[in-house]
Amino acid sequence: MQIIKGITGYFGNIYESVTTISMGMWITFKTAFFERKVTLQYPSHDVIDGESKDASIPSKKKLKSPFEPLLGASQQIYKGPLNTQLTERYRGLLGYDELKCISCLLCAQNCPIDVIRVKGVKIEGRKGKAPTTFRIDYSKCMFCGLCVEVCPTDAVFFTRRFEGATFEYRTLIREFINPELYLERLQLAEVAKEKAKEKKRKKQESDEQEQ
Amino acid sequence: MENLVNDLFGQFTFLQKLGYVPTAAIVMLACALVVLNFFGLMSGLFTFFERKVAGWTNSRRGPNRVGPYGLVQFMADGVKLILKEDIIPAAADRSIFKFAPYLLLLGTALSFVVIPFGPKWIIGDLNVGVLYLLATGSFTVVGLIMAGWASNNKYALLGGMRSAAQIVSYEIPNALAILVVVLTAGTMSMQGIIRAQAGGIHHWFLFSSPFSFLAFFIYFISAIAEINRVPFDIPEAESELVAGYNIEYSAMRFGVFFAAEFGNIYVISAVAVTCFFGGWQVPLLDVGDLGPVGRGLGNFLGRGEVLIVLLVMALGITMLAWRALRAFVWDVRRKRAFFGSRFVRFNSELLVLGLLFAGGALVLAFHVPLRAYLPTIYWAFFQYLVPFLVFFTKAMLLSFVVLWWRWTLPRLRVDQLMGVCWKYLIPIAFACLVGQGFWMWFFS
Repeated sequence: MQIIKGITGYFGNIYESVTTISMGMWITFKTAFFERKVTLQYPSHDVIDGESKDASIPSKKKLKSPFEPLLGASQQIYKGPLNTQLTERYRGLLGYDELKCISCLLCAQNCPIDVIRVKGVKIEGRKGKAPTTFRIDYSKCMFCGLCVEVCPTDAVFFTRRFEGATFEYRTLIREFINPELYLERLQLAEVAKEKAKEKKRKKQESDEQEQ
Repeated sequence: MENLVNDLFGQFTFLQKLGYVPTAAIVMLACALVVLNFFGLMSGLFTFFERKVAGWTNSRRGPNRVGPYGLVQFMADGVKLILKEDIIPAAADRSIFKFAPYLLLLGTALSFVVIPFGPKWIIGDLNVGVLYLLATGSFTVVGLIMAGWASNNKYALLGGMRSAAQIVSYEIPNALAILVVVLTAGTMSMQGIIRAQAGGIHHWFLFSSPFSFLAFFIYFISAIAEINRVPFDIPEAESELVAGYNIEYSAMRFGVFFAAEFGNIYVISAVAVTCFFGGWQVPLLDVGDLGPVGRGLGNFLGRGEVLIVLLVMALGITMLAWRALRAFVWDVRRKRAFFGSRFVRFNSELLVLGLLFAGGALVLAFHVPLRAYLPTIYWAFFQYLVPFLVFFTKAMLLSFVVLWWRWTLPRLRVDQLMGVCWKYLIPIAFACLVGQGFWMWFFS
């Protein structure tokens, strides 16, 4: 009885190893030649922000591995622009909407590494202060998201852009308000100041008359 | 080797003027150069192939950036390895530490002496060829133990010790499986073994008897164990020994270890092809040295040389037109200027095809007597190129299986490894040997 058990065990082991190994080999073979590749060949075969880059539009010929046409594996499907596939709360480069901004300086104060610099002036017809400077130094930013969380008007937000590489260090410092707008804002601020002064004077005058 | 020297000596008169001994010396040097370069190229290509297979089995694409399909990746890796700093630990046994990887490489390179590339293309057709192969395979043990000892590192030493135990054990089933082949072929010479398998696929030792069929699997498993490939790579088990024997090696010395390892893949596949898959014999055809087919094809080609030239030209024009059309459509869609367009950038074949075209036109215009050169061309083609390609294809298919196993099977434990060898492979190998003897007694 013991001997028979031993013999069946011995050949059973051989049988089991042969079947399991061939099963595993079939799985890897299937994955290697019949299944779709998951790789996104990002810069050369993808589209960013809806604009096609140089070699971006996937040519069918380029995407195939030499074995795919032989073995009937389907082509890589084109999954659309890469930034539509990012997660919902993806922390891309920071975006800024100057129309919403009230220059409360909360973002600059909350920034742990002083990346953001904000200046604002008071102008007419606008709630809070109007920003004259909004500058983010991307070379220091670590995308912690504190500024985004703290912004009361959602003026600072995360975009889905992630291609921030440049060839020069200084180009990483991003000005969000252009010089024309800056000058315009300053002029408007002067106007607002003068008006405020006039208002004050008139108020003073009216006060004096009352007295 | 002698055949090659004699052939060349007979073919070319300038060699006859030079004398036999200098010719032999030149041919030897040339052979050494060719084989060593082939070895280097093969091990390089195998690093690429391995990464590619790894990618495929993981649903990735593998390297595809350097060169066409990433084929030049291994050169970039090699340049990187050469440029890196070669660190030798202070407490290492310097001379042994330096020498160990080259010993490993030597073992692999020496195996190429008896590996046939074709019926006449072999460096040395030793009459103890298979025995010689088993002997050179043992260099691996010495190299690994030297590397493990000289590193003065406990992990490395453990790796070296394990490799000794493993390789010495697995040499037994390896040799027994090859003994089955030697028994059937009645010779140890590599070419002799291949010639014994002439006459179609059912004469290959893989299919000629059930015992040699089993012997193939025993040989293949134990050979993989002997070159420390993955299901049996306990000498460098990274989960236990960090990197095993090569833990202290860096830069090109580390690269040499891997050149030897990847060269070994080709060696074991080539030996398996020689012993079980009929070597350079073409499947499904009984063609001896490819004489009849060669002659038939030669006659056909000889009659229609103009036709062939025209055909090549037509093919070239079609290809060119198709490429150009595709590129042109691409440009027009994207409104590219002429320079910087794909039409210009991607039609470098234009030059090659233009040259071909010009050559064809010349042939047609002056009717160069191609027929005069045809015998030499066919001689080279059917004696060297076709058998080599057949052999190489078979070897590469088997090598693919080696890589495929690496990315399928998990590593064995040490006791399992020894169990597989001593409890399963060796008894079955002995049974195969005895069974093959009886088989031959009954059926021949």
